[in-house]
Formats: sequence, C-alpha cells, structure tokens
Amino acid sequence: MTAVAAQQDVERLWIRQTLTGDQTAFADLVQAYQRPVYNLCYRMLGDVAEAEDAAQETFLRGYTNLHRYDPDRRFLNWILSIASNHCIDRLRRRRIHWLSLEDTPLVEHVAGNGEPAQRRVERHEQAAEVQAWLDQLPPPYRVPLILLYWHDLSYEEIADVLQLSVPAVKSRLHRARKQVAEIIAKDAKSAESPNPKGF
Amino acid sequence: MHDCDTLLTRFSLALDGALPPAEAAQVQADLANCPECHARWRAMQRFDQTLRRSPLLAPPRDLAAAVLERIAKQHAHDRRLVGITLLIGGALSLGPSALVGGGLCLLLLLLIQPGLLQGLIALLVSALSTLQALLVTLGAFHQVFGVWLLPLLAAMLGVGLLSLTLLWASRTLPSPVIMINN
Ligand SMILES: [Zn+2]
Repeated sequence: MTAVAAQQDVERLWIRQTLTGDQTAFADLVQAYQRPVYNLCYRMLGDVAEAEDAAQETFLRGYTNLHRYDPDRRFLNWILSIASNHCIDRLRRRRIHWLSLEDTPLVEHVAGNGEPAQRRVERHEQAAEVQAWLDQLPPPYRVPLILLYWHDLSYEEIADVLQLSVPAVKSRLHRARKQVAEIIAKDAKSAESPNPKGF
Repeated sequence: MHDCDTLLTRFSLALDGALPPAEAAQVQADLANCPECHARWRAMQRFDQTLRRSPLLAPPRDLAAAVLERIAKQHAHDRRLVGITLLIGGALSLGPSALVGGGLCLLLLLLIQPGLLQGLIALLVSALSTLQALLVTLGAFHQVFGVWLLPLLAAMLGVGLLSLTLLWASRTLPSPVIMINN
C-alpha cells in the first residue's frame, strides 16, 4: 500500500468516526490539514489574526457539511475549496479596500516608496513584497497562484479545488502573473540585472 | 516578427514547465528579438522565483482546540434554536390541535351514545330529501316555463323581497306623536 493510499484510509476512518459524533477524530483531521488551510487563508488575507479566524471558520464549515463530502474527492481539495470560498467572501466584504488598490496605478503603489524593488533583499521585506503583489490581484486570481506555489498542486488539482476547467485555471494563472509582471517590469526598468534562468 | 500578446500567454506555461520543447525553443528565439517581451519575461521570472522561495507558515498551535470549542458553541446555539422553534411551533399548533381534539371528542361521544348518531343521520336524510323535493319541483316548473323559468324566479324573488321590505317599513314607522296640551 502506498503512503498516499494509507493516508486516505486513515482520513476516511476519521471522517466516518466524526460522522458518528466522535469529535476527537475531527481534531485529528484538523491537525492533518491545518497547515495548508492556514497558509491558504494567510496568503489570501495577508493578516495572521484574520487567517487564524478564517482557518477556524473553514474547519467549522467542514464539520457542519461533512455529510456532504464526496469520498471520491481528495479531502485536501475539498477543505481547500471551502477555505478559498470563505476567504473570497471575506475579501469581498472589504471590497472597497482592494478595489481602490486596483483602481490606482499598480506601479505607483508598489514602487511608491522610491526604492527599486530589486534592492529589497531582506526576508521580511520580501515577504511584505510578495503579499503586496498578491493583494493587487482580485481574489479569484489570487487563489490559483497560492495553490500552485505554496500547496504544490497541479493544474488538475487546482481545477478540482476551484471547480473550474483546466484551461480556465491556466488562463487565471496567466492573467495573474501578467498583471504582477507588469508591476515588476515597470518597477525594474531603471535597474537592469543579469538574466537568472536562461531564455 | 512575433505577436507580443501571443508570446506572453506562453510565459505562464513555460514557468510551470508545461510548454512542449519545440514551443519553448520558439519562445526563446522570439525573446532574443524583442526587448519588450524580454523585460516582461524577466519580471515574470522574478515573481516566480520570489514566490517559490516564500516559506509556508506554521499554523497556530491550538487551532484544533479552538475549532472544537467553536463546534461546541455552535451545538449549544443549535440546541437553543431547536428549543425556540419547538416552543413557537407548539404555540402555533395549539389552534389546529384544539379542532382535532374537539372532533375526536365528538366522535367518541357518538360511539358511546349511538342514539345521537341515529338522530344526526335522520337529520341528514331529511335535509337531503327536502333538497330532492325542491329539485323535482324546479324540474316540473322548467318543463312548463322552459327558458322563462329563470326570469320568472328572479321576478318572484324581487316581488317577495319588495313586499318583505314594505312590511318591515310599515312596522317600524314612527308612531303618531300625541300632543298633550297642558
Ligand atoms: Zn514581443
């Protein structure tokens, strides 16, 4: 038996036990998936406290709707889809905030502090920069990027989480990257650096 | 020359290693000839590499406990909701319950007192036979008057109502005032 199959068996047992009212089995499910769920929430919302609350809410919704879970689907994909929808809802509620960011010229927002982006090499500054890039993107375009980079999901798995077709996932990834690349390209126009990856 | 937008759509796939080798080679050739596309490609690469270097964060240690606490709270809330719903439902169903209860009591009374049932049946039978007699009479009139039966009935009803009204009016006419002269 492969490790993945063994993991799925344990997972199914936890789900069955939870459905019969065993809450410690659900605590095991939370332990197993808290890392991907919390990280998706954090990258979506960009705030530690809000990410924690959103992750709790995600698992609460998972618990309430567990009877609707289709065992043929990967549990990770199912719980990530709940997290993603919940975070998009939260971001919509603070819509005014990110729409106003979208309306302002992207380049000015990122490069506004007068320092070329490429000199920001310290880790915490880089983290802030990553979050600033993500925050520019409309939430539905943010999710596939996060699932690709931090969750190592394939196009097919992202399509399953978001209930989209694979071409739609490719298109969202392309648009998201294009939008961020435009910010970076304009930001880096003055400071040329050696080509890091061939091409 | 190449179309810059078409080339751009291939960058995302190239970063994920999802571009067939022949297309990747074409992209590379096109990039060499277009500074604009080259700058965009470099920007996408930078974005890609920065994101790949970004670490996963450790979730808060007590997340599972916090989730179980929320589940318990939700259960308590659900129980309160069920209680309130039962209370309102009970109050609302009192009316229909009273009707059903009354009906059941009547049924029970009829079962205990068969005489009452016989009386009720006799009442029903006599009402039905009266109705039948009325219908037979109307049928006989219809044979005599044909299509004029309805206007005739309406006229009779009108005359009847008019005479009843007149009768009532004559009864309630003010009585003559008796003047008493002192
Ligand atoms: Zn070009």
